[in-house]
Amino acid sequence: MNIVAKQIKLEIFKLSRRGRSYLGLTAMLGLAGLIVLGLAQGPPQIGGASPQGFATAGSFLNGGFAAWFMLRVTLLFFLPLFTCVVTGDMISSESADGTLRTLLSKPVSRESVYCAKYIASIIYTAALTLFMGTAAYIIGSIFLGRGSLTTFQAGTIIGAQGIYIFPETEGIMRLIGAYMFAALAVLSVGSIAFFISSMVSNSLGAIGGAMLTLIAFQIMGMFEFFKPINSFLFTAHMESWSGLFVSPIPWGQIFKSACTLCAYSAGFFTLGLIVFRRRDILS
Amino acid sequence: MDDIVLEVREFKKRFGAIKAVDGLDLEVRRGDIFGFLGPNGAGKSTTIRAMAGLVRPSNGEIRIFGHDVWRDRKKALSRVGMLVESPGLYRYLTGRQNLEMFAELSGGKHADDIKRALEITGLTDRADDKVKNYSHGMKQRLGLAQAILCQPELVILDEPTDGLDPQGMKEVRELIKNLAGECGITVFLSSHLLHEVEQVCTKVAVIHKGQKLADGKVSDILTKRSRIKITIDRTKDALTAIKEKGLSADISDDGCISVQIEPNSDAAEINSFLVEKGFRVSAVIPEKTSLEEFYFSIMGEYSGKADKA
Repeated sequence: MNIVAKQIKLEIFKLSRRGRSYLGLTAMLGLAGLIVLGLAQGPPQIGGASPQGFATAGSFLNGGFAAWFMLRVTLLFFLPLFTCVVTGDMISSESADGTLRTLLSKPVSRESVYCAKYIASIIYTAALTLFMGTAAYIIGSIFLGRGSLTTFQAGTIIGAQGIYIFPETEGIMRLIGAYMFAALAVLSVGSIAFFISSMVSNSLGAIGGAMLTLIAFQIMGMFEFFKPINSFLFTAHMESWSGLFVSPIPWGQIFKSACTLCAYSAGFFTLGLIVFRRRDILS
Repeated sequence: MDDIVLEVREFKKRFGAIKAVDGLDLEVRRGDIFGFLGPNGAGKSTTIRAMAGLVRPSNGEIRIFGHDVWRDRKKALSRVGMLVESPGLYRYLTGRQNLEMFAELSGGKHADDIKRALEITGLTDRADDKVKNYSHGMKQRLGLAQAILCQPELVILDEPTDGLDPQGMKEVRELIKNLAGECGITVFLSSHLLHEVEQVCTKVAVIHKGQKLADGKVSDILTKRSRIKITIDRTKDALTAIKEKGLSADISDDGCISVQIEPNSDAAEINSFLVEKGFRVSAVIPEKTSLEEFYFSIMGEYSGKADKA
C-alpha cells in the first residue's frame, strides 16, 4: 500500500474514532425521524407547489417521498453545516491540538497529508449524504409504506413546474442520482471549510466562514442586482438535483451545474494546498 | 563529512519584522549528544521546528543526513525521531493506536518497535488506555516513545523532561544516554535544565536572540572556564600581581583569590609565580566550573556587550 493510501486509511480511522463525526449522522437520523413523523400527519407545504392545491387520490406519502423531501429541506443548510463540522475540523483541530506538528515531523510530504485529509473529507461527505437518504427512505418506508415517487416542482430552480410521478424502481434510481449530485453540491461548501481549515487553528472559524459564504451567496441569488454573476455562484447550482425529477431530464443543465460545483471544490482544494505547502506550523 | 548528521548553515527566520533566528550555524556529528541551550525566546524552538520541516527558513538551509529538510523532507526525515515541544497526540486514541499510526507514517507498523518503545518509556501497562486519561508525564513519555519508534539514527528532543517528576527525569536522562551509548543514536537535545544537559551531553551550543554565543565540547567548555581558588596573605597585592600577569581574577566572598585559568595552564605555575614574588600561599584549590556558571557568564558577557553597544 503506498503512503497516500496508508494516510487515507489513517484519516478514516481517526474520523471513525471521533465523536464529532457521528454528530452529523445522528442529526440526520433525527431529522429523518422528524420528517417522517410530520409526513405521517399530512402532506407538507412545498413552496408554490403545495400538494393541497391539487386533488390527489390515495396517498403519495411514502419512503421515496420522505427521501425526496429530506433532500429538499436539508440541502441548503443542515447538510452543509454537518459536513463543514467535519471538513472544517480536519486540519484546524490538528493544528490546535499539536498533532499536525507530530504528523508533519514524520517523513511524509505535506501534499500527501493534505490530499489524504481531503479524500477522507470527500468520503465522509458522500457517506453522510447517502446515509441521510437511506435513513429517510427506510424510516419512511417502515412508517409510511412504499410505492410510486411523487415530486413537486415549484419552478424556481430548473424552470419545471407541477407534479411528477415515477414508478417505484425508477423513483429509487432518480433518488440515488439526486443524492449523488447532492454530495457534489455539499462538497463544494465542505471544500470552502477545508480550505479555511488549512489556514487557521480554530475549527469554528472554518465552519463559520464556509457557512457564511453559503448564506451570503444564497442572499445574493435573491437580488436582481447580482443576476449577471448568479450563474457563477455555487448556490445557484446546488438545487439542480431537482432536474432529475422531471421528464425529460435536463441533462445539459445538470452537467453544467455539476461542473460548476466541481470547479468550486477543485479551486478551493488547490488554494488550500498552496497555502498548506508554504505555511509555517507554529501551533 | 559523512560524519555530519545534522547541519545548520546561515539559518535565518523572520516572522514579519521579528528576527527569530539570525544566521545560525550548527554541526552535529554521529554519536554526539548535542545540548541546545538558550533562554526563552532565544530561537531554540524555531530552529527545531525548522529541523522538522515545520517552519520554512527565510535564509540558509538545514540538512539532515545530507538532505535539505525543506526541499527533500522525506529523505531528510526518514531516519529521524522527533519530539517537538509538548507532545502532540491524539487524545481520543489509545497510546498504542497513536504509536501504530505514527509508525505507519515512519515507514511501517512493526509490532516489535512499538513494544520496545512502550517498554523503554514504561507505558506497557497503560498502552491501551485513551491518551485523554493520561497524566502530563505519561503524555510526555508517549511523545518520547513516538520519537524513538522505527529505530531512528537521529533523535531530536525539545524539552523531553518537561512535566516529569524527578524519577521520570532521571529515567529520561538514562534513556538518552542509552540511546547514544548502546543504540548508537545521535541525540539533539534542547533543554532549559543546565544540570541535565551537563550530565547528558557531550557537546553544547548556546544561543540568544537568534544568534549563537558559544559552542563546543562540554569538557572543553568547562575546562576553558575552570578556576582555582588561592588562599594567600596580602590578598590585594597578590590580586594586582596576578592581574599584571594577564590573568582574570577577583576576590571571592571568603577572602580568597579566584583565578580563571586557561585550558593548558598549570595551577602549579601560578603558585610558583606567587611564591617567587614573596607571597605565602596557604592553599591552591581547583574549582570545576559548572555548565550553569558557564551559561550565565556568557549571558553576562553578551548583556555587557549589548549595553555598551
